[in-house]
Amino acid sequence: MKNVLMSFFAVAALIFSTTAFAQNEEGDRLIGVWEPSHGKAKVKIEKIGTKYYGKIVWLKEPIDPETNQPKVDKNNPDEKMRSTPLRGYRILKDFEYTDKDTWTEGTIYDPENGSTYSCTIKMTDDNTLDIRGYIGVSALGRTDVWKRLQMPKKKK
Amino acid sequence: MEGKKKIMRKVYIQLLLGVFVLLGACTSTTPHQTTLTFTTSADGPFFAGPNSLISTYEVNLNELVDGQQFTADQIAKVSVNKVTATIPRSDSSTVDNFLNATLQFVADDVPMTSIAVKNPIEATGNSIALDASQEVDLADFFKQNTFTVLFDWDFNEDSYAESLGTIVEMELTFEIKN
Repeated sequence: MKNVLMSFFAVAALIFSTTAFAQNEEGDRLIGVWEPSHGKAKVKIEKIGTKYYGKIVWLKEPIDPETNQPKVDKNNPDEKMRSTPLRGYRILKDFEYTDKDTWTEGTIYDPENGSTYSCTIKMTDDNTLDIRGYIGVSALGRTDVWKRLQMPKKKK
Repeated sequence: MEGKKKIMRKVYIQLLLGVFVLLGACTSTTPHQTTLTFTTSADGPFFAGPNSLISTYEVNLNELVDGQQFTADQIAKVSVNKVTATIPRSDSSTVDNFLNATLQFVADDVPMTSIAVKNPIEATGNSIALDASQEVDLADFFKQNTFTVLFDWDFNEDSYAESLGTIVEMELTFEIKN
């Protein structure tokens, strides 16, 4: 009886660890550089700990015409943080992979108005994301389509 | 009859005052200042732009504030007074290798929080003071077992250094419930 129980727990542990590993690998498909539909920025999504974060790594117009300096987060509600540079700013925060190509529990920040929205990410194919930002209920939101940045193929 | 009513009213008022005093005593907090040091690091090479240095911090409530014993539930607020970042002398980098710097905390059960920034960096040498947020409350991070300290240096050019370390020193005020 003891042996049967031991075998049962060993098999259960193996199934659990295999599932967790597969879940981890599936979630990591989000890692990469993505371009929102407006084409004004590129966002690199990386994993820190167990969650996913996206930071701006490229801006079409990196210089603020008003100040002639690199753009900063001038609409941040916290006055002390308004000098934070936009290049490098993590606009996607705290996403967790749930299942069915979906990452939830995260937020998206809009530097143009200083607002943070709840957000879900749905991967519709390997190179396309539906990014849905909303306040309160997901039904009351807006979806933007992001495309994975394709690296130019090397000439042979 | 009228006299009895007056006495009862007095008793009610005194009871009410007592409740307010008790509530006040229960929710009052005492501030304790402390300085914490985090040693962050990352392996090179580093490309121009923001690069993250990371440190995992294990929370030990008994060592956070000198001579103070408290539980996680007693932490009402943790505010930031001062943040400095220092590159150890053993590293060849100096702060003028970077355009700006930011500090954030991350934990599994707490949203990522921006704490301090220095932009632009105009100093030279191996140390800078960052502008700390006056609104941020770090209490939830100190209620976790561990959290991650994320320090970003924005490199002004590519660096092929094998690694880079930065010591982040934070002066914090813990508001502890009595």
